[in-house]
Amino acid sequence: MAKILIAEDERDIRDLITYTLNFAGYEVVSAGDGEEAVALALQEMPDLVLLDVRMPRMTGYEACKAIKADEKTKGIPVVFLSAKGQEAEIQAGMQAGAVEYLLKPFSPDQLTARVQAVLAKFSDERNSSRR
Amino acid sequence: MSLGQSALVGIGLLLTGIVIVLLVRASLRFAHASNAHLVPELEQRVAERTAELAREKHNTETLLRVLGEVSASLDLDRALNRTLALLNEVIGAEQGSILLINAEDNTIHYRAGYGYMMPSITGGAKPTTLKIGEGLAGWVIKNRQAALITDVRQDERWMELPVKSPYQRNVIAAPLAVGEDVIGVIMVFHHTTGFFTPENMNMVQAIGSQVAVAINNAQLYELIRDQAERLGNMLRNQQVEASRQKAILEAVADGVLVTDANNEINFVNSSAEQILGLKAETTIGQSLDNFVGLFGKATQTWTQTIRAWSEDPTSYQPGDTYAEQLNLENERVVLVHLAPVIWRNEFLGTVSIFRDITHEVEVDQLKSEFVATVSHELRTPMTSIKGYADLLLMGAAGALNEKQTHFLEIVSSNTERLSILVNDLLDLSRIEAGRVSLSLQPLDLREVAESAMGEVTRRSQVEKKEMDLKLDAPPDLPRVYGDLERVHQILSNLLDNAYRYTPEKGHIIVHLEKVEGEVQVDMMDNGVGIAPEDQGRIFERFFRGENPLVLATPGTGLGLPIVKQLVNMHKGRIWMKSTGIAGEGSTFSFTLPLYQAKE
Repeated sequence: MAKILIAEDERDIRDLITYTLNFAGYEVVSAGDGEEAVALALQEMPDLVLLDVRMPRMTGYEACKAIKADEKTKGIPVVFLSAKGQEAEIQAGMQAGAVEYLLKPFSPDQLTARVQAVLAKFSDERNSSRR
Repeated sequence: MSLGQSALVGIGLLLTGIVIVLLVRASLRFAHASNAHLVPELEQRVAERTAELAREKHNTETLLRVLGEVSASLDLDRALNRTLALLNEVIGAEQGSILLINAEDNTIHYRAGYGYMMPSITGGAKPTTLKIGEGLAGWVIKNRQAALITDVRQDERWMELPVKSPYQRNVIAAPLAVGEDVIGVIMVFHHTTGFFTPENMNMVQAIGSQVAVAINNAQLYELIRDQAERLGNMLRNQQVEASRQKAILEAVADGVLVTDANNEINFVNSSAEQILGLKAETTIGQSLDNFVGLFGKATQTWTQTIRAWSEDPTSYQPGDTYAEQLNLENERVVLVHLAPVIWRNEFLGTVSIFRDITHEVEVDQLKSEFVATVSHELRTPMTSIKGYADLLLMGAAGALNEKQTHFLEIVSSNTERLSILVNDLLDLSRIEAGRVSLSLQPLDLREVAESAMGEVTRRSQVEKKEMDLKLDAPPDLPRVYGDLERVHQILSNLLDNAYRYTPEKGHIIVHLEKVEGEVQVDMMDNGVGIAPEDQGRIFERFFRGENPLVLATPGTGLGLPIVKQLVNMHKGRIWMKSTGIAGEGSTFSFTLPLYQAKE
């Protein structure tokens, strides 16, 4: 069972994502801001990190860069989930090292489908690199 | 008198030297040869000759004085009056007059008179106007010769005034001739018949030719003076007009910059100085090229257009203008409108109008930022509403009965609708603010249409709303020049409308065809159609008309405005046709420019 770290400052949405992913059968660890997310990533070594962009203390972009800067966590795929959907913002997210940029609002089906796809792609890569 | 006389003899001797010498020798011979009775005769002849010479001298002097008088004065009337006065004095005339031919109507007019004591002498009436050949004056002009009339009452050429003048009996009339032209007549009068001598006539004739030259000169002078005055007035008027026009240009709130045919700056008003950050005194007369660096990169196309026009005025097509928004290096945003100045097919230069829209752009930016913020703020609560409703629908919180499911579906689909509205609003505001740039590339429209139609087909399968979709395109359709994502959006939006406003089992036909320089897309459906009275507003924001069949279908009223903006950005055209009758549907058409491979 894959473990997913989510970071979202809005409690309602954090819970929504948690329920959704739990319902889809994933183990979920959640953080309320970017700093916490970076610490939890190192501690929990999740299979995927789902980051909101606009968060207190540390933005999603910064958290993503920090995760990618650490040798131990840099292999973990990062996906953004944001209400900010302008080209410049999406570009900033991809430059920070994310593999995907999802827009709010989202439907639970959409979210689980995207998460599934990213996990499948990365486990494939991991398997092939092990070989 | 004696001193004058001796001097006079000397001049006479000089003038007629040969004759005098012979005369004296002859006298000496007579003196030797014969007796004393010859001496008085001789003396008498010398005296006669002396008197003759004195008269000639006097005449010459008079002529000189007249000449001096008429040539010294550029005031013609004064000169003529003086001439007549002198003439009267010299030959003892009582009256004199000068009549001139009026070139305009070729009649003889009274011009100057001397010695008329009372107006009643001329009969109280205005001096008569004569035709050429009429009266004595007319005869003299016509025959170009002088006349001495002993008594006018005995001469048929004389035309008597209504009141007979007792002062005008004896007359001399002489033509005023300049070369071949006779310009008038000079006349002197005496009340005594036979008063004037033929010698007097010669004198009047001689003076006449002098006066004629003077009049001619004076008329020429007048002509030149009039001409000069007229030119002066014209120049002054032009200066006044030019200053007025300059003042108008100066008063215009927009910046005005004028260049001439050599690409030199001719005029800059104070608004232009302010907007461009220039000083007129250092700008005018300079070549525009000197300022290219100053305005920064943004103005390159503007200056290039001006140069292209001035170098090759034929490159200008009637109706060609150029307008661009410039982001200057001094952080001002300026709208420039450039037009050539053509006068009678001649390229005179260009005029550029600058409007500082920095403030408007800032306001627009604030508006876009506001819309962006609002949409972002709306998305967060929408995420929760939609997410939790969907979670419930998925049974994440336990099984639902039919009614609960139905209600939650309504919540979810309306949140979806709200989400589309927010996205469209944001998209439209960004397009309108000019923040969307196209990445143009050659596109196969058939492929894009197939992809967009595939989405509608899938949707119709999911929603179980049967729809017959058909693509009708020639195999050799040339590629268009467009932004893949945005062209896809155009087709999707139009297909989405066609799908939504066409009932089940309807059909949608997409027809692609090459027309002049473009590919035309026609999208026909057999849906509810659009009433003719609504068609003019169909591309307006939030306009959805009054048709209940339309309003029953969810929609934002933003789809078509976005499509129109996007088509315009591609330099294409968009229009629609519909009878407005349900079942006959509507046809939306747009064009995209063909891709021109660069050589």
